[in-house]
Amino acid sequence: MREVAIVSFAQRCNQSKWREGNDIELLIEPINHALDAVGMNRQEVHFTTGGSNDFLAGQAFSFVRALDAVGVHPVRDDSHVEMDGAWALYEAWVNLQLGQIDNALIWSLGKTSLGKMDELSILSLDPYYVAPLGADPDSVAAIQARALIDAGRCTERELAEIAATRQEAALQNERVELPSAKNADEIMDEPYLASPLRPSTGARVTDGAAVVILAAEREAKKLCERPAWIRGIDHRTDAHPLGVRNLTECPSARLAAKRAGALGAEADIAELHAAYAHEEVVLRDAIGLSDAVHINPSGGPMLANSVMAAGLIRFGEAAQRIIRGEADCAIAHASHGPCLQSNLVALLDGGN
Amino acid sequence: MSDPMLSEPWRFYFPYTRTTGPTVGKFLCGLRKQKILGIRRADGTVMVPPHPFDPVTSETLTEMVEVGTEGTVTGWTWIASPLPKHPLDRPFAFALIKLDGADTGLFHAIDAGDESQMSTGMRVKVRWARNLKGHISDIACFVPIDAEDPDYEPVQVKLDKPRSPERWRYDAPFETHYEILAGRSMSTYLRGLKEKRLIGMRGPSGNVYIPPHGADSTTGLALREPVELGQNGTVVRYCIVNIPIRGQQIEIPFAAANVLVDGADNTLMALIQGIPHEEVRLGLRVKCVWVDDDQLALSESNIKWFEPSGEPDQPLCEIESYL
Repeated sequence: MREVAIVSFAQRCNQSKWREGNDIELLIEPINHALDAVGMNRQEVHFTTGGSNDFLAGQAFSFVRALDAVGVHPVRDDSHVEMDGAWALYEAWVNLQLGQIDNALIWSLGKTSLGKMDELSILSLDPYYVAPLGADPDSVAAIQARALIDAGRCTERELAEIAATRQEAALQNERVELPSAKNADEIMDEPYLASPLRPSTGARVTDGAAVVILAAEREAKKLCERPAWIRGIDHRTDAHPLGVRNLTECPSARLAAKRAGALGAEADIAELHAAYAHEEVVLRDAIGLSDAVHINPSGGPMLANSVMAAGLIRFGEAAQRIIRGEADCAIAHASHGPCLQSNLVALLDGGN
Repeated sequence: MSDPMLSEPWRFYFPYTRTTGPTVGKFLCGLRKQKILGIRRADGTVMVPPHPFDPVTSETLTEMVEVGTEGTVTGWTWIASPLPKHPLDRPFAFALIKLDGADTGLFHAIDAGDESQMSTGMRVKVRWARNLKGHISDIACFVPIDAEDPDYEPVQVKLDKPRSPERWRYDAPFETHYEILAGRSMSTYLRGLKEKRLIGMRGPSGNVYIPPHGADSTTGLALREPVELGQNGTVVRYCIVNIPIRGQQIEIPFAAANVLVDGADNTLMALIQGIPHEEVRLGLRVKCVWVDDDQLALSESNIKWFEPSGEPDQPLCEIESYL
């Protein structure tokens, strides 16, 4: 296996509406920033891949236009996944293992404000049995939250406390638009969004874009003083139908964590793609995180759910802390599908 | 560019038709007869709704079994403010319901009136829809077990064509709405078109793009400098279209071309008129023809087409890199 590391990360501010440009214009700045941070230009990139979704963009093959922002000269290998950008990162990691390339740029676009997320998400559900009922993501997530409460795994109050802690952390993150944080009492006073979830314990969708640069071995050391080495990475999927799953557990996250070497790892931090407060409860147990692991120091995706980018942002946020020397070991997690159906887990560290 | 960004409402419509395959088809046709079918898994348990495979083990499943129309709520959420695509227009619950005789939860809506009526473990029964079509919405919703029966008898909707459950299909159109943003560069370009001007954008590579999409695709850097281009150009690629396209206003065959507008480094796609299509050629000099002034909009449709300008052809050696 080749040692591969995240050497750079940049993201736009995750905000409710980014109205200053189209998708291409949204992507240019984070690409510039990610490259500048490691002294690279677009011509030196060996492989580009991205994660985005045509339904969000409202047009077919929207990712082809994103190539304009990546730059097409000299001609190079390019790819795309119609998934969160974290899965594009996984693809780039596999490509780096093949040994033909030494670096890769991964982009992700999460512009949710053009369309209606509650309607577009329906298209990702079972087309015969669930989608015709108009099941929106908040409703589907709320059923999982209820299952956890019924099983005694958490209370509504604990969910509010998780949300309050993340809001507090997000205030320190200049890449999350949040004027002020609510405390748990204030959150408990919010009317339900879809009971038992409230606006603050649910996901707030935002517009965002993120870029990660991966590099292998010597290239990584050349580009970055302290790369965030990917020591293990794996992704797994559970069954799609909600009714056949035990929603209080997440076997796919557990298996992915195990295979990535992250299960019960003594990490300093974990960036979890938990867009809803109760998803942290599920993931904490599935990945075996001890109380010593600082979860979502960035504030996490609850306030910054730039759909299709939020998973890649977890990888970037986790790596950034290692690159800056604020953490030695980090777990990065991304998720996809209703009630944490698919999960991608990586273990990162700053050692040699 | 202090002008606000151009944007436009955008309707997206997918006229999907779903083919179900035999397992889902039998389940949906069962609903038409007010029967609910599940499928037996290898461990003997019954999955409702049925899939032709086991979602956990991937085994093929074939043995369909009828289950009850009453069941127990195993999970739920109360929706105080229903959305337009929800099945009920008053507050309701989405829930997982384990029907009697089934071992898995069916996702559906419960019309319980008030959240205080809801609890995990509560008993519910099917409320059949007025019109039974062979669709998941033949179950209008579930209701608490002691709810009164409706004041109608459900009826099977007549099929246009007889169709077996094995070949079941139904229309499943999906419509949603967007607010599309043109972007900075595209806004500049579209505003130019409204004044019958062709405005491209120059990028850091020195290339001028029309239409400009935001990035200098050579370097990937942002386009910043608007450049007014000429109204004439050169045909550098073309094709003769012989296939009718829905909504096409122009008689076939016609010529469509990539026109290298004077001052631009990339090409604009345009119709060529004012010349028999068989005479369209590489190097042909053409000029932009605009719609009447009262029809000018913030739209590419302002350009009717390009037609011969009367200038001599451009030598091919000068446009070689585009050919």
